[in-house]
Amino acid sequence: MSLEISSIRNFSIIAHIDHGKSTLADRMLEYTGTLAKREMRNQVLDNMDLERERGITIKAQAVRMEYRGFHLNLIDTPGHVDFSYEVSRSLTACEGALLLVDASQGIEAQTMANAHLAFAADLEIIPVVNKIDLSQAQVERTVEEVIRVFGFKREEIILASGKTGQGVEDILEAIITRVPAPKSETNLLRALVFDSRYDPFRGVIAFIRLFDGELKPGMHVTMLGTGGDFEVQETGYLKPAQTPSKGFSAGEVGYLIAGVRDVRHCRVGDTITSLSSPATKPLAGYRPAKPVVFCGFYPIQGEDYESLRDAVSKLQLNDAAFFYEPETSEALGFGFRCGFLGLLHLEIVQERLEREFGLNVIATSPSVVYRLFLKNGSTLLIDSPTKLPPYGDILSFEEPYCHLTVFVPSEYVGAAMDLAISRRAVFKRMEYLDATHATLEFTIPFAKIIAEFHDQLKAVSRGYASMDYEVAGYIPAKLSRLDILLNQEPVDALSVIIHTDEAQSYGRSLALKLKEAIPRQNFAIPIQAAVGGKVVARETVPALRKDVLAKCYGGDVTRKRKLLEKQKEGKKRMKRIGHVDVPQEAFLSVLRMGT
Amino acid sequence: MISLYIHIPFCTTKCRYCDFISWTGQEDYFDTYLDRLLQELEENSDLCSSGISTVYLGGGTPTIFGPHRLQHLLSRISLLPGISFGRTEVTIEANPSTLDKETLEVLADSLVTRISLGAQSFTSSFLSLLGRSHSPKEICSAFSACRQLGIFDINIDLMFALPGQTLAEWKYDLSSCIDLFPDHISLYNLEVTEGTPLWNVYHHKEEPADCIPPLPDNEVEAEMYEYAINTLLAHGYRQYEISNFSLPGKECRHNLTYWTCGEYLGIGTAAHSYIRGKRWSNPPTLSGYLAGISPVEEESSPEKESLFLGLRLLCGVEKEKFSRYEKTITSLTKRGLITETEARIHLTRKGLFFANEVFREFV
Repeated sequence: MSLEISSIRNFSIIAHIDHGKSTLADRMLEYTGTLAKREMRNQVLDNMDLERERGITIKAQAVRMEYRGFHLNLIDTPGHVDFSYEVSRSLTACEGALLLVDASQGIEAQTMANAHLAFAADLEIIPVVNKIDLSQAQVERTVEEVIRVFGFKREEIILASGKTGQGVEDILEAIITRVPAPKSETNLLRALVFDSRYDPFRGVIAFIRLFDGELKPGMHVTMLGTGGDFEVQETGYLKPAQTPSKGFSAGEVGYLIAGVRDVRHCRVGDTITSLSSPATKPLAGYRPAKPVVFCGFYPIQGEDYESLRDAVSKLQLNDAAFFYEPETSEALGFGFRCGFLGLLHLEIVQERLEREFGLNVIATSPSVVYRLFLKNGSTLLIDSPTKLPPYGDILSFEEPYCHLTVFVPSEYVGAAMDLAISRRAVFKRMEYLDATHATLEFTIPFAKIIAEFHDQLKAVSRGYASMDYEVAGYIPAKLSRLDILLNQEPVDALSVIIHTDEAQSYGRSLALKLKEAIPRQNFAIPIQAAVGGKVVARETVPALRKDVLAKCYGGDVTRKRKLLEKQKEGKKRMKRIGHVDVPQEAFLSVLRMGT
Repeated sequence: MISLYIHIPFCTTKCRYCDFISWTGQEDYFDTYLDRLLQELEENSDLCSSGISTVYLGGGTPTIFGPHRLQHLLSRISLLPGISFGRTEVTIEANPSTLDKETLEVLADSLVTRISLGAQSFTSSFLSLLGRSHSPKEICSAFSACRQLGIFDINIDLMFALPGQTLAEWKYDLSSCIDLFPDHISLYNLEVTEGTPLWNVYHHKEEPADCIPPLPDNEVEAEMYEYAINTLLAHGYRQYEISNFSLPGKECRHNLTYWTCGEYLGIGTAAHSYIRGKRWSNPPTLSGYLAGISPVEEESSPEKESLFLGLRLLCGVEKEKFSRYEKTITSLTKRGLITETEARIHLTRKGLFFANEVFREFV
């Protein structure tokens, strides 16, 4: 069963979103006969419906191909900035990477970011200019760009089309000849978990790269990070369907089932070793994925709480980076405080709750993690406005900031710059890659990025600008908590932490939005926005003076009764805050505003 | 005894706020429709056998039907059990512009005892805004023509809270109406219902042909209603229902049937019936009705309905009907929305303005 290590090649494809990674992978599967054409669903690698629809890869996957006596393992990587951690650990499992650049788009922010990760991981990089079949492809210009930006030689660059299959053979040849075979340092078992998935019948399915030693069903293994004793039940390859094998030898990539019931016992990045003769040195690369964006999820219908709890716990089984804990809001009832890698991650989880579990949830305003210094000398990390201590106890605030790189065609440099500056970014430097493209570097409060910065950047650049960011640390900030009071009572779900000098204008627009969304009631309802106990904006919903159906005759009885019943139902669904009935839509309309 | 409603679903023009079942330009079907009405009456003769207490011809615009068809229909109705010429309340709705001399004479010599004029407003700008086909002058001349023939009780339908209407403009409309001194006045605030042209204008689905100003604020609407109640009471009218006022003894008995959950048979397109605890409605399309498609039964909740319908009347509902609602009654009383006499519970003046809040407690 032992495989000749010199016949193995492990590689990834790295690219900006939409540069054709999945389609090219499909052609490689086809060309190597891993899948017959009729078996192909478009883009085999993107497994989740959501991934296929959004055209992005969220979870890494690994596929094994046989080609001219070589065993090629393609380890897919996510293409979005939120998931850069997942990219880096996938790269750790490889010796080489295809760097894909769309001939019609050229180099973009994620091309740069992922290429840097690959260089840092010391991988052999094969540059590929893709989509050369497109009429708007600018092949020569893109080739020039790749040469200039990354310093490749012209002859190293392969021209390809995932659509027509052109260049696929050249790519496969390059993988065999240019990507080095894996090397093994010791005979003690060491395998890197680079992804995992939860299967309700079999437990955790871990995707692993064996660096040293051998792994066979029946062996007892443990995790260098989290410990435990697990008996290997099955090993195998993805071709791309799960195909059991007799075991793995050094250098191989595949899946492992060992009766692990909880993904937290088989963390991505951890090292698997033998229980009887364990290795001592873990493989590099273990870094727990840390949620950086938080928000509350509340069921729109209170009775869905149990289903929501069930759903978030199931999602976490598959997604070690997703965090949740129970949270109670006076306004919204029982729900969960959830943590994410970024805003896209948040949206994806929310969408999965809706699609896969049929749950409608209200997401409260996303928040970053603030650092507070208290007068008693202690430090506090806060991911929700409701967790803020009284103002009198706070000495100072710090907020997380990012290094932001914006990659933009030169005609949109001004627009991108204006947008960033308006979001409190501090300009660091600008570099022209060629006559038409520039990269801009900033530092910017992370809170400003999660408030739909990416969408706005796309908007001001007609979709051409792209961005990458990295949370870099904390900087002092003048922050305040903005509270909304309805009929004198604070509504916890609407509180936000905000820059002090932006609080007033935000409070004003929030109060106005609420005024439009809250129906008149029997009494006038004051809506106030308050910062640190001082009211900075006020609106009033006037009292309802008349609520009566004018007409009701013989033909109206059933209809009018149903109307009254519906109104009664609607009233029941409203949240009552300070004697004010607030419809869900009111919450939704303000929570959608962003800070 | 049951009440009889006959629906005539035709109009010359469709008003912009109208959400009733009615069509324009269907003159070719008038004869067929009349035949089908008579046939339906025949088919339901056993339901009528207990006797007819009141008759109401509504629409649409029943008077569009023309003198001959009306005569034919009314003479057929006069043969129904319990009908007593001149004693049985028989109402017909009329649009002031369709009430020509010949039609009026036929009605005067028929079973009809009561005429309901769809005036809506006495201000020409509002009438055209609403898409009404008549002028203020035509209301007055139709009214005096009825009076001259001397035999009708007359109701006037009036609307308030019209687009852009001020309190002063409403006062003018109301006093113009009172000047005629009708026996009965029905007052409705304009309700903009989904699907009507007016709704489409307000919800930006349709470009208005003329500029339609916004609806008056809820506060102004309340002031208009309050003003109307006070003024009508001062002129000798009695408010007997949320939207209905009459001189003493001139209440509409047919409509009282609805609010007291009495039995009624409805014939014609989309007409509703309520007999022996069951509700049903006729097909809402002309073709469906003419083809004789059977009525559809509607669910009914007699208890709920008797409470919210009964409370529309200012005399209210017998106390014993609320035995299950002791707590609700206490809380509504505390909030000043209802009050009780020895035997009955009824809305207070404040309750008239928030009647839906009271009704919602009982559905």
